Amino acid sequence: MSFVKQKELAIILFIAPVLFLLFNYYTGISDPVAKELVGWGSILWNFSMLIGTYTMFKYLATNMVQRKKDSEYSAILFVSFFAYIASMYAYPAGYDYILTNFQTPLQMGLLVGTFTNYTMLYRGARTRNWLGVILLMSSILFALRQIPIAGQFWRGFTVIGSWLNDVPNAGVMRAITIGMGVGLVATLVRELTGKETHYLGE
Amino acid sequence: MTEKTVTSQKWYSSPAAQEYLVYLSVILLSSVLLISPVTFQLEVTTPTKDFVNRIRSIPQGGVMLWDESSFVTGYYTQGQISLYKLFFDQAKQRAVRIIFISSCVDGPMAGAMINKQLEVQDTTGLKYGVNYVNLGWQPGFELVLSAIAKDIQTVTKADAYGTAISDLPMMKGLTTQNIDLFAFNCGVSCDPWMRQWVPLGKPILMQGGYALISQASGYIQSGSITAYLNGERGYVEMERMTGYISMRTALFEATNIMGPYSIILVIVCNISYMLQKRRKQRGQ
Repeated sequence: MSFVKQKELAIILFIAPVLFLLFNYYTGISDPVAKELVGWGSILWNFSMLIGTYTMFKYLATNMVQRKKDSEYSAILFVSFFAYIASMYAYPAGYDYILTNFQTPLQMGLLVGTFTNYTMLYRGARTRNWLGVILLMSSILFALRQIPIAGQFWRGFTVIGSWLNDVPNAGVMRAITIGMGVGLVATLVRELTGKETHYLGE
Repeated sequence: MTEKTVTSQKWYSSPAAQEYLVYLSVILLSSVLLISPVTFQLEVTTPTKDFVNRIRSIPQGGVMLWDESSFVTGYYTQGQISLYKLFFDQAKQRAVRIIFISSCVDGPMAGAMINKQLEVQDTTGLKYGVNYVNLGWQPGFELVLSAIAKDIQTVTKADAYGTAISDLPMMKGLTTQNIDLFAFNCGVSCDPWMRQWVPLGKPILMQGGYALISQASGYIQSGSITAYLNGERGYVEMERMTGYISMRTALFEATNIMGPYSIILVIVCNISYMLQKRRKQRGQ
C-alpha cells in the first residue's frame, strides 16, 4: 500500500505539529513558524465547514432523488441556502432583511423553552431519595439568590445561596476542572504515542 | 359474567389537564407584568461593582479587547447595548481603545451582533480605526483565542468591513502585550478562554449565564477571572450602576414573579408525587 494512504502518515501529520507547538510554547523558539501553523489551523477549520456543507448536501440530494419521506424539506433547504448566499453578495440589503426578520426570530423561537421548561419542572423535578431532596433544596436556595424579591423577604437567601456557590460548588468545579485537565494530558500522551486514533475517525 | 368497574378520574388528574393549567398560569402571571411590573430594590453585588470598576480603571489611552461569543438572542434584544455604552464611555472620557472580535463557536451571528450593536451606539467624537475596531467573527474558536494570545496581528488580515489591518491606525504596531484588559462573554464553558488568556497575566473579565458563572467558580476564586457579571442579574445590576437602562432591566422584573412560581411548581410537584406514592401504598 502506498505510504500516503497509510494510517501512519496521518498520525505523523498530527504528532509533528503538536510536538512543534509544545516545543515552541516551552522554549519560545521559532515563534513566527508557530504563529503560521496556528493560522493554518484556522484555515483548515474553514475547510472543515466546507466538508460539512458538502456532506449535508449529499444527504439532501439523496433524499430528493430517492423521493424519501419529507424530501420536500430538503428542496426547501437547498433553495433557501442558495438564495441566502446569493443575496449576501448580490443584494446585501435583502440579506440583512432575511437575517433580521426571519432567521433571528425563528432561531429565537426555537430557543424559547418557557413552557417546555415549566412542564419539565412539574414532571421531572421529583425527588426519590434524601440526596435528591438535598440537591433540590440547594437548587432552590441557589435560585433564590438571584431573585431580588427573595432578598427583600429575607437576606439569608442571598447569604446561603452565595455560600452554596462559593464553597461546595466551587470545590466541586475545581475538582472537575483539574480532572478534565489531567484527562486532556493523558489523552494527548496517548495520541502522541499513537495509541489513540479517534481523530482519524476510527 | 365479569363486571367492569369504571373509576372516575378527576378532571385535573390527567397529564394534559395539568399541563394546560401550568401553561395558563404562566400566561396569566406574565400578563400581570404587562399591567403592573413588580419592581423591587436591587442591591448591586460586589462582583458587579468589581466588573464595572475594573473597566473604568483601564489606564488612560489603554486598550481593551471584547470577545462577543454569547448566544444569538442578544442580536434581537440588543441585550449588549448597555455594556457597549460603558465601553464607549471609557473611549470618550479616557481615550481607551477598544477591539471588538468574536470567536463564537456558534457561528457568525455573534459577529453580526457586534455590527448591529455598533450601529446604535453614540460614537460622537470617536473615529473607527482610531478609537475602536471591529475584527468581526473569526472561525476557529479556541484557535482564534490562541492567535489573540500569541499575536493580535495574526488573528485576521482584514476587519469586519474588509479593511486591511495594516490600514487601521489603531492596529499599527499593536501587540497582544499592549492590551490592558481582556473581556468576553460566552454561551459555553469558559475553559478555552482560561487556557489561552490566563498565561498572559492580564485582567480577564467574564460575562455569562448563572450556570456558566457557577462552572467558572474555580477560576474566579483563584483570581484567573478578575471580575464577572453574574448572569441576568449581574447585567441588570451593571445597568443600575451605570444608569444605562435597557430592555433587559424591564425583562428582569419578570423574575420576581416567575422565579418564585418555578419554585412553587417544583414544591407542588414533589408534594403531589409523595401523596400519589402514599395512595398507591395504601391501595396495596
